Amino acid sequence: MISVLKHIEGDAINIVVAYRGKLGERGLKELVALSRRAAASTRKYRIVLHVFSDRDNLEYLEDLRPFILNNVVFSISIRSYELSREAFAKLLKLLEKSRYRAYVLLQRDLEDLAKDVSTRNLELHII
Amino acid sequence: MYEVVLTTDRTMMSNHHGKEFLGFLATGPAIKIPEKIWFWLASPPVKVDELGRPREAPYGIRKVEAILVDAGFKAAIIDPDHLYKHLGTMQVLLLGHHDYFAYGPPSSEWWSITGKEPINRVSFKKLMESPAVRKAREKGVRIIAGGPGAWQWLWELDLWRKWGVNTVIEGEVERVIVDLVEKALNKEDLPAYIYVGPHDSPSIDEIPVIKGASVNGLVEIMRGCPRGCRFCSVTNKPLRFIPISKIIEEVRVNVRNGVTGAILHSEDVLLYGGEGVKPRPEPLKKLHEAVTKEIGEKGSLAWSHVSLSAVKYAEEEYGLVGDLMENYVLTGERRYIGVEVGIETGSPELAKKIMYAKSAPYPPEKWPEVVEDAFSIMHENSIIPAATLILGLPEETSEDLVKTVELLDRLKPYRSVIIPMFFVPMGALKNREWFLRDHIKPEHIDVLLKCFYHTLHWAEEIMKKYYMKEFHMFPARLLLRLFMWLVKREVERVVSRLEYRLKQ
Repeated sequence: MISVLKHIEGDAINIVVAYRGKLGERGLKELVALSRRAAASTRKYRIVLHVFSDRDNLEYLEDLRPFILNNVVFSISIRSYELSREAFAKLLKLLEKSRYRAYVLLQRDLEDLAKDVSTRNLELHII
Repeated sequence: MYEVVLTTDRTMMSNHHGKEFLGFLATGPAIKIPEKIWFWLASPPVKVDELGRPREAPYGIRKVEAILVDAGFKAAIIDPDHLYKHLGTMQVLLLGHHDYFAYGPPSSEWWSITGKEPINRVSFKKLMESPAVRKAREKGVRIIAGGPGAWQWLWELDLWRKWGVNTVIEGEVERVIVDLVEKALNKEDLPAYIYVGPHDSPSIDEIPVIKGASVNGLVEIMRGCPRGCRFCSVTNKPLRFIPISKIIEEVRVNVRNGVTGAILHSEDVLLYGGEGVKPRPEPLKKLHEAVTKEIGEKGSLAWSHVSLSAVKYAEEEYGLVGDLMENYVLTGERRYIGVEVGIETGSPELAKKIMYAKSAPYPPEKWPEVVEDAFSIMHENSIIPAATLILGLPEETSEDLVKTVELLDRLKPYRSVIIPMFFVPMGALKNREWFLRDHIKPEHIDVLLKCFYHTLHWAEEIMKKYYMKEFHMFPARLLLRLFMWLVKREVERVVSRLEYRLKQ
C-alpha cells in the first residue's frame, strides 16, 4: 500500500514509468511531453513519478535528472519500485482504485506488463 | 531526549565569531593555512547546553524545528558533535544545508580554481562519516536531507546511496515536512526525491516562528522576489511579506537567547512592503523602528541583500537610505551596515537577456549607471556592500566582459568587496551548462584580477576602520591579515608568470 504524502502527492498526476537499462532520450522526451499534456488537461501542479527500473539503487535518478532540472512549476515526488510483474500489478491496482487518472509509460520490450493495464482510468503509452 | 534530530555540519552550525562574512571562508579550501586553523577562523563551534542543543542554529533548520515542535514531535536541533547523546532515542535524522557538496557559488569556483575540495564539503563528509551518524544508520534511523542545497544530491548518487539517505526534499517544506516525518517514524515507504513547487508554497500563516536563536540573529522579513532573474531560484517562489509583529517575535526569541543583533533577511530588504519593484518609505521605517527598539543601540544590524536599483530609487525618490541609516541604523556602536548586492554583469546587453527586471524601475540599458549610483549612495551612507559578479553566464560574450571591466574601473572609489562567481545552473537556467576553469578566457582573467585588487584594497581599509575591531577578535583579525598577505603574494606571482608567458 502506498502511503501518500497528502500535501504533495494527494490530488496529483500519477505517472508510472517502467524500463530496463537506461530510459534514453526518447523515453525522457516522451515523459516530459506526457507530463505537460497531463498537466494541461487536468490543471494539476503535482506529479508523482512511480519508477520501475532494473538499474542499481538510485541510478534511475540519473535518467530523470533532466526531467527534474527542466521543471520549475510542478511539485514532484519520485518513488521507485523493483522491476517485477507483481510489484507493477500491485501498484496499478492501487492507482486504478484512486479516482484520478494515471498514466503509464512502458518500454516496448516490457509490453507484456501492459496486459495488466486496464483502460478504465489508466492511459498507456509505449516507448 | 529526542526522536527527531535536526543537524548540519560545523561550517553551518557556527556563528562565525559573530561575523557572518567570515562564514564565507568555509566555501573555499584551506589555502596556505592549516585546515584546523581555517576551520576555527571560518566556523568555530557554537555554545551548546547539556543535551547538545546549540545556542544559535541556522535559520532554515530553526524553521523546520518549529514546525515539528508545534506539531507535537519530540524534535530538536543538535550540534553535530553531540549527536551521540541522542542515539538511544533518535528515529529520524533531518539534515539541512545550503551547500552540501560545494557545488553552489562561490564554493564551486574556489574548487575549480584551486583544484582542492572546499572545507564545507570536507566538513559535511566528515559529519556523514562520523561514528554517531554511522551508528544511527546502522540502527535504522531514517535520514531526510533538505535545504537550499538539496539539489546537489542529484549529482552525488553514490554518496546518497552509501550514506543511506532515505529522502531528499527541495523547496519550501512547511506543508510537507510533518507528514513526511510522521511516515518516516512509522517506517512507511518514503519517496526518494521531493521537489516542492511554487503552488505548494506556504502562506504567511503557515510559516512558524522560530523556537530558538538563529545564527547571528537572522530573521526573515519576506520570501520570494519579483525581479525574475533567470539564474536565481528564489524568484520562482511567490512573494510574501512577513508581518512586523511576527518579525519582532523572532527578534525577541533571539534576544532572549542572548543574540542581541539582527540580520534582516530578504532577497531585497528595501522591497519590504514595497509596490512591485519600488520601495515604499512607510513599511521600511516601521520595520527598522521596531527592530532597533528590540536590539537597542548596541546590537549589531545587517541587511542580508538589497538590489542596487532599489537603493538608487529609495534614495533618489525619498532620501530613504539616508533616513534609515541616520535615524535607525547608525549609532555610536553601529558604525556601518553590511549587505550583499548583485552586480552580476556590467553589460546592459547581457542584463537584458538574463535579468531584465533587475534594474527596474530603470531600463536595463541604464544598468551600469544604476550600479555606480547605488555604490555611491552606499559609500556616502556607511553601507558596505559585498557584491557578486557572475562569470560564464549563458550567452555571455567577450564584449560583455569588457563592459564589466569598464564598470569595475568606475566602482574603484567606492568602499566595497566584489566577489566574482562562476555560473552555477540554477533558477530558470538550471538545465544549462556549468562554468568551470577550462572555460576561462583572457577577459575573464581581467575581471578576476580587477575584482581581486579592488577587494584587497578596500578589505584592508574596512578592517582598519570598521570590521572586527573588538579586542577578542584580534587573533582572527591577525589570521585574516596573514591570509590576505599570502594570497596577494601568490596572485602577484601567478600574474607575473602570466605576463612573462604573454611576452614570449
